[in-house]
Amino acid sequence: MNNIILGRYLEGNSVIHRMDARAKLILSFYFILIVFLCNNWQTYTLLAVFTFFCVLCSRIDVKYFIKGVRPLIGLILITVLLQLFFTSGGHVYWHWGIFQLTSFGIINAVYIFCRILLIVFMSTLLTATTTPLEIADGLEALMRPLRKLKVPVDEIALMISIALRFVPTLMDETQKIINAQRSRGVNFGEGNIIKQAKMLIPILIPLFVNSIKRAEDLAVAMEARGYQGGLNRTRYRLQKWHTVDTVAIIIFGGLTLLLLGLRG
Amino acid sequence: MGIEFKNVSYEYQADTPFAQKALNNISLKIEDGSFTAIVGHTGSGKSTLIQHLNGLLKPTLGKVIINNQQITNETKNKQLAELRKQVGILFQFSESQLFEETVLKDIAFAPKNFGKSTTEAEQIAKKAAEVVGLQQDLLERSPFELSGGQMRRVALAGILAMNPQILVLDEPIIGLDPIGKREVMSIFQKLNQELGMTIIIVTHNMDDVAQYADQVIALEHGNLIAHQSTSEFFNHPQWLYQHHLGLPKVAEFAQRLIKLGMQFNQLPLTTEELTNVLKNKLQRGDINE
Repeated sequence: MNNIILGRYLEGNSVIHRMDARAKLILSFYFILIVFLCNNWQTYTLLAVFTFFCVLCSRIDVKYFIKGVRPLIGLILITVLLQLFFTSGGHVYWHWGIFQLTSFGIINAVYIFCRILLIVFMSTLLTATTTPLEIADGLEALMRPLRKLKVPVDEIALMISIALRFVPTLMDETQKIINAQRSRGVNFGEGNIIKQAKMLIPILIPLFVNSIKRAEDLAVAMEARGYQGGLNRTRYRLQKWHTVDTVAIIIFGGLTLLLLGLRG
Repeated sequence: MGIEFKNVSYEYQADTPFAQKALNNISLKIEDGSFTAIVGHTGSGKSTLIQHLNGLLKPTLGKVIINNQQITNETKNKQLAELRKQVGILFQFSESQLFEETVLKDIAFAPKNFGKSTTEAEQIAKKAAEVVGLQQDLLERSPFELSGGQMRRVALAGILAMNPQILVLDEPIIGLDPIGKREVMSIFQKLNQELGMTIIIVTHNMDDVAQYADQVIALEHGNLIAHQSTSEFFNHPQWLYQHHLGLPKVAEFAQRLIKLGMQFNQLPLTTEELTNVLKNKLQRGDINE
């Protein structure tokens, strides 16, 4: 469980680490949009170079990003294979039944592969350079306009930050319960599917019971400290927009124009 | 037989940016039938060490030998079932491992996993419940209806039901009331003295170490800094303070008496020892009002 790298924060002090979480969130979403603007090798090369540049800026080892792709490899392969064998059009190299290998298929498969890779790299970059709390604060700030539509933004933000805070705690606890049950003779990962599903009960029940207990305790502790709901609270962590953030947005604007120009 | 660590090192999440060394070249031997306390600062590697005792963690380097079975980096999980039967580990806040509908079923869970039939397992469970002092009428209740202290006993009974030769306890009495603490500790003492069970206990409470353990293992930043008999261990107060370990309350009190001019052949560690020494001194007229 500890081997999941995607979505974990890595301490650092690079330009990207210091950027405002709001800017990073907006730009990451925006990046996913502009990935879909790419439709030829020039545009893909441009974006790949740009992504690589961002990774370099963060001063995080590239190996780390490549490792982050590993858990997704199955998903990527399936998508790529589907594209490869089921796309029609262009020159047909080989076909057998419903499968066919066409020049369009190959090109599409390569494009899809690049797309997923670029998106995974960029999202890893976001989570690796931004603490979960910053992300929660950033999301809250970005959702604030929704208040006018009666969306309970403060409550959602509170839920997100509490959830994020308890992810590592729950992971630790899960590991502890797994260890305790293994010591009592449970062999996880053995036997058929039904047997394996049954083995989850000794983990899930304690985990749920403990979560409910923890939620009760937390609610009482919050009330005792005067928490009364979302509105009219002041905040301790203030977000600050830097010049870097504006520059980053301008760079992304320029990138979009270039992409639009290079599109075939 | 017994437990032996040979140059054991352990690293969490090896080969990632999060790699963390937890144990550093540890070599030690624990004899059968001993009562060993493991002490050390928070994060010194105590919990990592005890998870090596039944193969939950396998050493990154070196090997662990328990009852003639070797555990190295390459040991497969399948080979560890027998070992898990011999080594029972009671984890910190063990009440969070309960999950069955009734107390009895929960205690019987481990023996059933190790191949006992349901009726056999329930018989064993009833005996284990008796050992830890649970009333029979609690056995049909849900474990979640019980008090914290009772839940802890159920968890302990669940481990004892495996009938382990080696019992490993990670802060078993933390959060219990004083009476519960004493009762649980005396259960361990009884198991050790009457059944010859090897007991390894992780604790921060030096009073318990002094009163119950016959040897002490001290860890600091993943290094073994001491492995001595209890009396030897507490005989160097200066060294203990340097390593952020303390003395038992009685020994601290004795230290103050020493400062006032009293002399001891050996630093008394338990109330009994201290009162005996003082009584002797009074009889011999060494001290007067």
